[in-house]
Amino acid sequence: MIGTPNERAIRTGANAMGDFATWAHGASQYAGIEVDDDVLALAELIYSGVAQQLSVLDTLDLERFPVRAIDPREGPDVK
Amino acid sequence: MMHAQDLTLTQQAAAIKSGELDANELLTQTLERIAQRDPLINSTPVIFEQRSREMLASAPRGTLYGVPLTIKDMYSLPWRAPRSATSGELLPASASGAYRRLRDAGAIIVGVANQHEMGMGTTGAQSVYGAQHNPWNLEYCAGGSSGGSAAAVSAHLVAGSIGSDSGGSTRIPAAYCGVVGMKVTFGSLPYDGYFGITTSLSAPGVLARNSADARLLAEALLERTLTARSLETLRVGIVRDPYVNDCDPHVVSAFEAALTATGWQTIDIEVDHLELAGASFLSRLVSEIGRPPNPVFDQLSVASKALLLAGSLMPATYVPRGERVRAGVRDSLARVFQSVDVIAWPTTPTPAPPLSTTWLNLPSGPATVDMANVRQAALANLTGVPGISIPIGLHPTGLPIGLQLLAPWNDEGILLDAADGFERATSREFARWTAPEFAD
Repeated sequence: MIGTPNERAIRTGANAMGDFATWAHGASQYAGIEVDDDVLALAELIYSGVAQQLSVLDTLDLERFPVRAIDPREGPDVK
Repeated sequence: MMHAQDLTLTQQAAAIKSGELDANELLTQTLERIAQRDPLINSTPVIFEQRSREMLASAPRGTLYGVPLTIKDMYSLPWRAPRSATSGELLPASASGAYRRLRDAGAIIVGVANQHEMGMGTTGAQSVYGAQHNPWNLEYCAGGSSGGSAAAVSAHLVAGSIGSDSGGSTRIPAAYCGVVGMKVTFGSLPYDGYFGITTSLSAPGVLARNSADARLLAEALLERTLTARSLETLRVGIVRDPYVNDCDPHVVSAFEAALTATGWQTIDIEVDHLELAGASFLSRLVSEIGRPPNPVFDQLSVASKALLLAGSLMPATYVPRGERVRAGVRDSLARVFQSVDVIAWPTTPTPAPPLSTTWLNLPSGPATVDMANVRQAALANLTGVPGISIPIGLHPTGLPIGLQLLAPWNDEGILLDAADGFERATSREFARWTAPEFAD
C-alpha cells in the first residue's frame, strides 16, 4: 500500500466520485461512522445544492478579488 | 400581584438593588414559572436549583445581581458540559468565557436553553430534548438555533437568555418569538468553553424583551458600557434586493411601516459583491463544521448526519476563493458604513412556519426555511459585524415580525439606540408584548 490511510481514502473517494453514495459511504466507513440510505440520499441532495452554490467561485475573477488578511473582530481600513 | 418574571430584566435588577425584591424569592418564582409554563414550549430542559442557589449565595453585587438567566446548550458551565442539543458532551465542563462574564456581573444561571441540534437549523424543531414551540402559537416553531432562549424570554420564564449566532441563530428566533435578539461583534468576548469556538462566523448573542434589557445583558457579556444616546436622526441604508423584495408582502409592509414610524432617513444602497456573499459564507460554514464524537454522531437526526457528511466531503479548494470574496464584501460594507449609520431589512422573509414545515413559498419561488433565513442573516456572520432583531408587528397569522439592523464592527451601542428609538416612536407597544397564551 502506498501513502497514508488518509491519502488512500481520498484516492478511493476521487475514483468513485461518479457515484455519490459509494463515495460517501466509503468516507463514512473510513471515519468509523454508520450512515444508512436515508442519510446518504439527503447528503447527496445537500451536497449537490451546496456544490451548485459554491460553483460560482470557480469562475471568480482573481484579479478583482486579491488575497487579503481578514480579522472579523474589526472592520477593514477603507478610503 | 405581579409575578416577578413579568418584570423586565432591568426592573428585576433595580428591584433587587433597592431591596423591593428578594433575589432568593425571584429565583424561587422563576423555577416555579419554568415548571408551570415550560411543558408547553420546551425551552429550558435542564435546570439545577442547587447550583443556581449556590451561584446566588456567592454572587457579586454587579449590574445583574440576582437576575436569573438561561444559557444556550453551547456553553460550558463549571458543573455541566455543553451538548448542543445532542446526546453527549461536546466540551468539558468549565467556567466558559460567557459564564464568567455573567457570573462576574452577579447573574444567576437558572437553566440550559434548548436549541436546534448542533446549531444546524433555524427552526428549533430538531433537538435531543424535543422541539421548541413558539409561545405565540404552539404549533409553530420557535426558530433556531437559539429557539429555547427566545421562547423562554417570550413566555416570561426568564427576562434574558444567552444564545449564539453563526448564521442568524440569535436574530431569527428573536424575530419568530417577538423579542429582541442581538448578535455581538465576532470575537468580542472570550470564546473558551463555547461550542462555536472553531468557527470564524460565530458570536454569542443576547435575547431580552426590550432594548434596555438587551443593553444591560450585552454590557455584562462585553464587559464594557454601551452608553445610551438619544438619536436625533439615523441614516438607514436599505438593501432591497433580495433582502426586502423577496419577502412575504405583510413582512414588507411591517418593515416599511416601522421605518416610517421612526422618521429615520432611509437610503437605498448596494453592497458590492453581495451576489457572491452566500457562496463565500457557505465555503466557510462547511469547512468549519466539526463532527461530534462517533457515539454522539450515531444518535443525531438524519438531517444533521446528512449535513455533516455532505460538509465533510466538500472540497476545500473553495475556501481560499471564498475568503477572497469575504475580504471584498467586508471592504464594501465598511464603505457603506461611511455614508449610513446602520443597514436594515426584515430579519426573516416570513414569520415562523409551522413545526412540520421545511419549505417556504417566497416571491422568488420555493426555498427551504433554513436557506431563506440564513440568506437574510449571513452577511453579519461573514463580515463579523453586530446585528439586532427587534419586534415590529404581527403578521395576519398572529405571529411576530422582526426588523434586522446591522452596524459597524464593535458598535453594538448604535443598534440598541436604534431599537430604543423605534420603541419610543411606537410608544413601546411591541416592547410590552406578551404572547396571548402567556398573558396573565
